[in-house]
Amino acid sequence: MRYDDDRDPALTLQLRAHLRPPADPAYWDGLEARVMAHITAEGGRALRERDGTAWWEPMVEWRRALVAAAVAALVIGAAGAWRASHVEPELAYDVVVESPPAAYGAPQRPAASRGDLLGDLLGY
Amino acid sequence: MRSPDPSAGSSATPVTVLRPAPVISDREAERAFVLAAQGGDAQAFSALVRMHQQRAYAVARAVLLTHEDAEDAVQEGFLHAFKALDRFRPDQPFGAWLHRIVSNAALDLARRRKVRDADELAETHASPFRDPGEGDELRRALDRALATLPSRQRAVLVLHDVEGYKHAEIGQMLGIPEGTARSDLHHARAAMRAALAPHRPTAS
Repeated sequence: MRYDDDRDPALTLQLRAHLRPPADPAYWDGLEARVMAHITAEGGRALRERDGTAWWEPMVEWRRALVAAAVAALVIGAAGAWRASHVEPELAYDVVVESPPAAYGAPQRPAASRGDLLGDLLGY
Repeated sequence: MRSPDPSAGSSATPVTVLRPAPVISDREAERAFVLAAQGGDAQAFSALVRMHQQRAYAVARAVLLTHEDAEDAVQEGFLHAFKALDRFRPDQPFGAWLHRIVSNAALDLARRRKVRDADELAETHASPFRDPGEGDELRRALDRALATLPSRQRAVLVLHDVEGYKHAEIGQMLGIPEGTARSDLHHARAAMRAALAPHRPTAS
């Protein structure tokens, strides 16, 4: 079916007359002004974003450095916490195990002779 | 600008020829405005608005039923174009790119206006710039008939019959295949003829 065969010149003329755009140049000057005002009002944010003057723009530029610093701080903090919970108690145990207190290591009194010991036992 | 003719002999009377001033085509001017606007020149974008607003209005008016809505769609379309200007390649025709954006803005507005009653629209002054010779009854009938068409069919009808776009251009603008644009035009014309039949002079 050929759709182009159903042209209707009368309908076309009626539509052209009905939908005729404004002819007054003042209207178009006004529309241009309204369009630019709309862009200034609504597009101001877009303009700032495009020009890179938004308040968060510098933060974006420093994003990588900030992320790296945050990761480093996290790693250091985690290492410190792990050390505090695992390494330091083990070292403390090592100190306890490897360094017996003086009370156990040193004789409380000089070695007694067999006669003194017998005297102690017999109560005289 | 006048300059001596290099072909003239030294003994002869100096002959001057008129050379045409370099003519900047609309396309070159448009490209220069686009590049300047992409660099942040608001005046250059204003010049682009001046160059394209009438066609943009026609595209929006094809989709929308009222002059006021068409103007809103033009403003929205230019705003979207401004925001997306960095993504536009200056070697492409700005008008075609803009018209796609404006038609999208108009179709979006038409979807939001769908709840409006066609009769209510017919009572409004669809265009304050109408021909004084156009009768009120015919004007209302045209408004009513246009309002009953689906927005895409109405857009295809007006863009083709009133604005003179080709099917392929309309297809690109509205995001539909060329064949769909042809079939939409056929159905729109048929619906308009049927709706306006009582207002047309009968052949005697």
